[in-house]
Amino acid sequence: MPRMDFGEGTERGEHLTRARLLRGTVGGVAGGLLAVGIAACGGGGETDTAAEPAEPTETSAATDFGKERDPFDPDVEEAFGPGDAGIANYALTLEYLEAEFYRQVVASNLFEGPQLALLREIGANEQQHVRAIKSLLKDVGAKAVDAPETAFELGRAEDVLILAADIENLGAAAYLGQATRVRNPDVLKLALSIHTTEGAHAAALATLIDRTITPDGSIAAPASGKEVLKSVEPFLVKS
Amino acid sequence: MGGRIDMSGVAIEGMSRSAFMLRAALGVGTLAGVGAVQSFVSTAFAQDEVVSVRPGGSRVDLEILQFALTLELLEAEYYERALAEATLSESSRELAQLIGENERQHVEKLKTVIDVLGGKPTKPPKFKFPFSDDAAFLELAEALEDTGVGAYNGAAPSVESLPVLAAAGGIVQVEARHAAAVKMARGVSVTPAFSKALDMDEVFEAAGKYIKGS
Repeated sequence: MPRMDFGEGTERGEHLTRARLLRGTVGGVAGGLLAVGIAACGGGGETDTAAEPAEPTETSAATDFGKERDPFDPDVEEAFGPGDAGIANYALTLEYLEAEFYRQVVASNLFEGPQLALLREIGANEQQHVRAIKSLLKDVGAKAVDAPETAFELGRAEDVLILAADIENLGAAAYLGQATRVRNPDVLKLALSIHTTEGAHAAALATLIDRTITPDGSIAAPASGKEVLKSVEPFLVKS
Repeated sequence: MGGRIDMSGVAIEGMSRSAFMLRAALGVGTLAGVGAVQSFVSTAFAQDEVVSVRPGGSRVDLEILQFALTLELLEAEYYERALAEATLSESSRELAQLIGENERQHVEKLKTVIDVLGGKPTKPPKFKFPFSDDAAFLELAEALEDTGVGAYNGAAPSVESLPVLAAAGGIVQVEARHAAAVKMARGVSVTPAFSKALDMDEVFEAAGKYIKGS
């Protein structure tokens, strides 16, 4: 029976701020691995039953630990704590940031018509991502980080669309960067599902600003925690 | 209409398991609007098909790759034939060229990974597509791209080896981008908050029908 280690989340009430992020003092320091046993069959039971071929091949290590995965991202662990919970809190922080960005964009009166409708739709998606990740963290007994304090400068409408596309590209690359590291199948499923949604957002926005829908070409490129956290620095308020 | 897209006009002729599976996947996509979450299983594949594994390689991964390859072959040919045979608007032509080129590269990438795993790429089935006008082209393109996203996302949790997972992740994001661009061109909602993963149990059930009938 596979077991998952979930790193403990950030201390309750602790805000992720730019400064803390840079110092890497959020989350991980609270320390302590909270081992949460998660039956791989739980939730996706039929899958695993059905996926069991008759022959006990070399893959009979059908536990998720039997699968080849990349090591956890050191920068994500440093900022958000160890394990899949650290990844989930990293993702949650990006989703908080995106959701708040679109909230401000929609409220800005910069847009109308189909563009406003798209931005609303994307913003609503990001809010659902926030809720889903928080719910997942709760399910596995890990704490969710609080929303970071953010600051966005919203200038001309076109610049806002460009920024939105950049943020979505970054988000999609961030998820892709963690996809090969996640251990828990439920976390992976959610991450994959959000990953493609972020890619879809990025492409939809790209069509509004006459940019290519596939900036990386035919195969999307992942981004490391280090790259992503550096890129979002300008949007996080220093405390 | 009701958001459902009729893919019954797409014919896939081929006796490989992957071809059957693909027909079934499209059928499920049509019925369910590409719904529900499950992952690929290996039981539906016969022992004979193109699933030879290098010692230490993953049979599950190879099966997933063969199915993905079949899907990419279908997509690549769809855009190629659309450009040659369909009456497309200028913007649809540009889209078909861009997406078609990506799909060809996906085919090459998957063949390479299959080779690394010690497999032999599945033979392309024969495809037939119903081409009428620009709107029909976009509609079917959307369905195919959504099927691609669902298939990869459904399969990924079962993937065992890193190169396969990384390739699938890099490809599926691009499929999602294609789908979104096509939806923008159609003026429909770009994406639900959570991309659907294809329910492969349903696919297998549907596949059984094709296998018996052929």
